[in-house]
Amino acid sequence: MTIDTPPTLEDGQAPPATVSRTGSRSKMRQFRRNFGAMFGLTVIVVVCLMALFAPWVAPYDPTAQVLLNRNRPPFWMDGGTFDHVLGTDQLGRDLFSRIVYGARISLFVGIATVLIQTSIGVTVGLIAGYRRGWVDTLFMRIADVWLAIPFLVLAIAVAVILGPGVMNTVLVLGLVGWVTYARVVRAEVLTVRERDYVLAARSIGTPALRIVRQHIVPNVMASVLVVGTLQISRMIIAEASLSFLGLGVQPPNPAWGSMISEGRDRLGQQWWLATMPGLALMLTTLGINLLGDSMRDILDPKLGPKEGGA
Amino acid sequence: MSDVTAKRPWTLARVTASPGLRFAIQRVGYGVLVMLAVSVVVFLLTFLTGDPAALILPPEATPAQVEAFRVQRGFDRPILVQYWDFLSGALTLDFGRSLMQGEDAMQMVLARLAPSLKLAMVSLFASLVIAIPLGLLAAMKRGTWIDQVSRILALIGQCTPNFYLGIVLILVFAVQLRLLPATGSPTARGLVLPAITLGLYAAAETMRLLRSSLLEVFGEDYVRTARAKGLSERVTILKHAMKNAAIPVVTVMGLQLNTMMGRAVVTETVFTYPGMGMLAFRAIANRDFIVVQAFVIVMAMVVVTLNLIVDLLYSRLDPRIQLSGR
Repeated sequence: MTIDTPPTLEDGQAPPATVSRTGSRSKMRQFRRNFGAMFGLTVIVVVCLMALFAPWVAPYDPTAQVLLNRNRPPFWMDGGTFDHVLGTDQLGRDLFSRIVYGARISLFVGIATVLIQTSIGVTVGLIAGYRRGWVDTLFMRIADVWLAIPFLVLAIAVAVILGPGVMNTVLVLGLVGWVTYARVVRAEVLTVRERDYVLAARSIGTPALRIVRQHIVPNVMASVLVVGTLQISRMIIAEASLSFLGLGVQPPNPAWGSMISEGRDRLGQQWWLATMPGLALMLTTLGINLLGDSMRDILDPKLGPKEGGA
Repeated sequence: MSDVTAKRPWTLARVTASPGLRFAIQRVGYGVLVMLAVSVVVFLLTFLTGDPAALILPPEATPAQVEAFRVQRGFDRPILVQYWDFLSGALTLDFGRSLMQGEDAMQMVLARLAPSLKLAMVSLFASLVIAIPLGLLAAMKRGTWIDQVSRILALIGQCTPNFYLGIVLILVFAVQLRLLPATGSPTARGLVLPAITLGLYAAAETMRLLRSSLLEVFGEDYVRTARAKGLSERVTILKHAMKNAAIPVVTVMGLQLNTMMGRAVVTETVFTYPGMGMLAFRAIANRDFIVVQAFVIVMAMVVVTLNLIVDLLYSRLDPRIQLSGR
């Protein structure tokens, strides 16, 4: 890492734009030299592996209660053992195993939600941006209304009606959060549709659907990828918030949010019950944000620092 | 408004002639439209599962009880009639009675509005107190360790879920050090931890934004001129650079207030702070849908009003902005 970094770059940032900036190979190199990006990627790979191979990684069943082993501290504290690396909760469940399985829920909800949001948001954004006219106006007004209600408040309102559960949480967050994408995509389409090659394609009578597929979509994908990556971390936090409020994933399922909520009552005695799942949550979102930020710097420098949302 | 215009009588012609006022009236009218649309959304939400009666009644209610409830509440009437009822109720701030307490739902929410607003304002203030010096320092000492540290702090601030931050703060400052109370209240001591919890995310965002917009402004002609004139660095930055760099920050503040009101629900729950969010949390646990409805409407009303204020502030701050709209 340190060897091939030019000595002039102090903050691990990409070098100033040069001739080779657009080449995909130079982008890969930029990416590899970016400490934040590599750190983020490493964290995400570890969390993904943990989630995928949870049954092999976790030493215990995350819901198995062993009442004889209640409230064990982590191994570095008095009375802690390596049998339960991070200790056990008030029902004798292994905290480490629960965190490992929690990664599954967080990642699943994060990714599934973002997929729903992207499919709705990109479609709406493409239509609004390309067709313009009343469709566009209608969409922009809907987006205004959507943004008048804070994301989490709307999510809470929908979640109260749909009821808790993993799938309902995905549905709630997916339905509520698509506006961000639609706005980003629409803004991009508005500029792309006026480019010469699009005008040329239109002038020779290429059908609209084909123009959108061949010329517009490829140009919009970089932004969608960047926004989508950053959005995964926001959705993981949103899921954790809903679960924390008791509206998301329900116990005994080991969601990080509900684990923090359970551990909150025992802060004075077993502080690790709330702090450990929170640490996992924080590290995961940190990794995703680091990766997303550097992807934005490299792929799409013109995207602003942040779009509104959760 | 200058003194001359203030003395002239208020006529329709004058109102429509003043671009600032016309802009203000336009924005207010637009806010009203948005609120109407929000009321439609909130109303339609009830029908998301098809049957509001089943939603409100406990699952063990018999079909006959459900039917009686539907008739009693008027859920059997045509949907437009129901919406009209809902809207005319909403216009007079009447959403019906809480299903649990039997009190007027809107009154319950409005009684909690002041503490919630207080928390949001103190949090916003806290975020600015953290963000402005750090952002300024980071921009002035670009590339040094100060810049690095503040960047890392900003990143951590943006990645920490606020309920987790709240719990860690309680653990450190209330449980371990016993310096501050673990439960929030609208008093000076009771506000410290909730305000930091709620304000840190905004502080991180503002700091990053202020840094990048300052760096942009530093390259502008007027800053170079100010420096060339021999103005001290302090005057250059405070009078010339900061004023212009503040514009994007104010814009984002509108969005931040929106996000903050949403996150306040969770923060208030962590600290059992007596605001709207805590009320909503209790209502959720009790499946008290009427109170949740009133809460969403009040929340939207607060956000629309705050955004209106930011919009108007924004046009004052930057005369280059077209007053006719965004």
